[in-house]
Amino acid sequence: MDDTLTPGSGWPSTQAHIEHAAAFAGVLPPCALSQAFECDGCSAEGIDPCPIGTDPDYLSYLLHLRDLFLRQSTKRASQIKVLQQIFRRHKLPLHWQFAALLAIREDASLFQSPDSVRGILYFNPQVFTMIRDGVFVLR
Amino acid sequence: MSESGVNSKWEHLGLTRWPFYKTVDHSSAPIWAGRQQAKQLTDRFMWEWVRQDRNYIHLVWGDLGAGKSHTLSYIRHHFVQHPDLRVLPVRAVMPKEFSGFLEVYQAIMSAIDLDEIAELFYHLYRALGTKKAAVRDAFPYIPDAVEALLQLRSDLDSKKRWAETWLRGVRLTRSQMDSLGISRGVKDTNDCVAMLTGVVAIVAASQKYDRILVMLDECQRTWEAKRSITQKIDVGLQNWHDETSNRLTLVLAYKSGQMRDFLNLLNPDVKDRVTLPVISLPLLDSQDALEFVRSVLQQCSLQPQAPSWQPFGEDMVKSVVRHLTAGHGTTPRHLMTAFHAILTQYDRQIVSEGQCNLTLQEALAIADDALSDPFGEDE
Repeated sequence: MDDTLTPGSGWPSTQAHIEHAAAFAGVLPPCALSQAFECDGCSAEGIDPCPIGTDPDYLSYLLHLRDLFLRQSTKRASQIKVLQQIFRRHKLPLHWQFAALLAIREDASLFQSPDSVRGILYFNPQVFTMIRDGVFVLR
Repeated sequence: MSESGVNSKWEHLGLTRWPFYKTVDHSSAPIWAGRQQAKQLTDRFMWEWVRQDRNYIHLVWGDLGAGKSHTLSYIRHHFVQHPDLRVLPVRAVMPKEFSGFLEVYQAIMSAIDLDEIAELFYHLYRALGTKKAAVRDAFPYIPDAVEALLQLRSDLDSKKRWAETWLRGVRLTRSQMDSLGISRGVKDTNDCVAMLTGVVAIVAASQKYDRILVMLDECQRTWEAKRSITQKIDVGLQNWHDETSNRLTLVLAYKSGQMRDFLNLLNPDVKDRVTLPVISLPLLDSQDALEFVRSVLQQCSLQPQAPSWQPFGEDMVKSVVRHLTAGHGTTPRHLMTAFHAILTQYDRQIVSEGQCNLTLQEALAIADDALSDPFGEDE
């Protein structure tokens, strides 16, 4: 194995942190995009050799994680927008099952199942408020 | 208050009665302002119910404060005022929470005058001669109903009360049921449908009525329940419609922002049975709103034949209406609220100062204040 590509000590915990940031927040280390390799302040600072700069496969893996996140969050934003419009039009409380009925009719490609609508309503309390068990209104 | 008393109270405004109210009361029920299309459709349906022997399900749809409750009151008033049309109107409100059709049954039975049903049943019972025949004709699935209806004429207050409670679908203790001679309570959808079907049979067999008209307000509340519960309610309504003998009219009123969404949320089995078109009450645009206010004022005017905007000026009404309908339009309730506040100011100034000097800007400010909602909720 080429020793120049073996990451330095401390890499496993740093790797978990970097991949989590890419997959769940869409944040990449600065050098992943700029290729400047200025390591000051980077969470992988001090790792030598650093796979982000030296391993193109690893870099593309990080970009893939970031793209998945962006795709998902764009879809989530569109789903929230559609549901907001439904609640705004309806003007009254709706059980999530009926909100799902309207959402799926509105855009079947955006909502795979009633449960996906339930998840969006439950996990976005800044947009939707649950006033009774399973019954939501716009916040 | 006498009619002349009403006249003199609002004479200085050129009105026979106060025209703007926020909730439907008995005196305002016959008034219909604007929305001529909805009125014509409602009148046509009412005519049809009297003329034809079949079951009907009708839908009334409207935005918040658009006049659904008023439409139901208008229909009810029509049949109360015309007993010769032989329609028994019942107006019930969907409960706020439910676990099935039982709560809907309870709401309907609470709205029905059970003393009248007992009276109608007694005549049927006497005509048939035996309990067995009464059970066969009215309550084959739940014979205890015959006993309960007969007990409603009991001299004992407690028995009468328990019978009424049982008929309304509320549970009685075993000993209470024993004393009435009743073996079981009204529990599930089948029981409820059997009871309601029996009530229709009693009404249809009576000398006084040919049809029962049940109007259910606030039906959109079913969409706040789980779909499995809503399905039970829909099945109950659908079975009731299918099992009765062409003498039932069901009017279901739904509040919803858009007609498209409202139709999408309806159960397909109920939708199949609906008599179209839907009585639709959307937001009023500027022209419709103006016609609405003009019509309300005219119907309350001392000179209803002479078209006038009294006590307001035409410009005042047009400006306020334009202000209120800017955007997506407005509802009759908003118009009523705004003009109620402006007219109150008119009345106060005329009574205390002899004349009204309200400027247009002041009128708009009064309307805005009346419609401002400190709680951020329309209803």
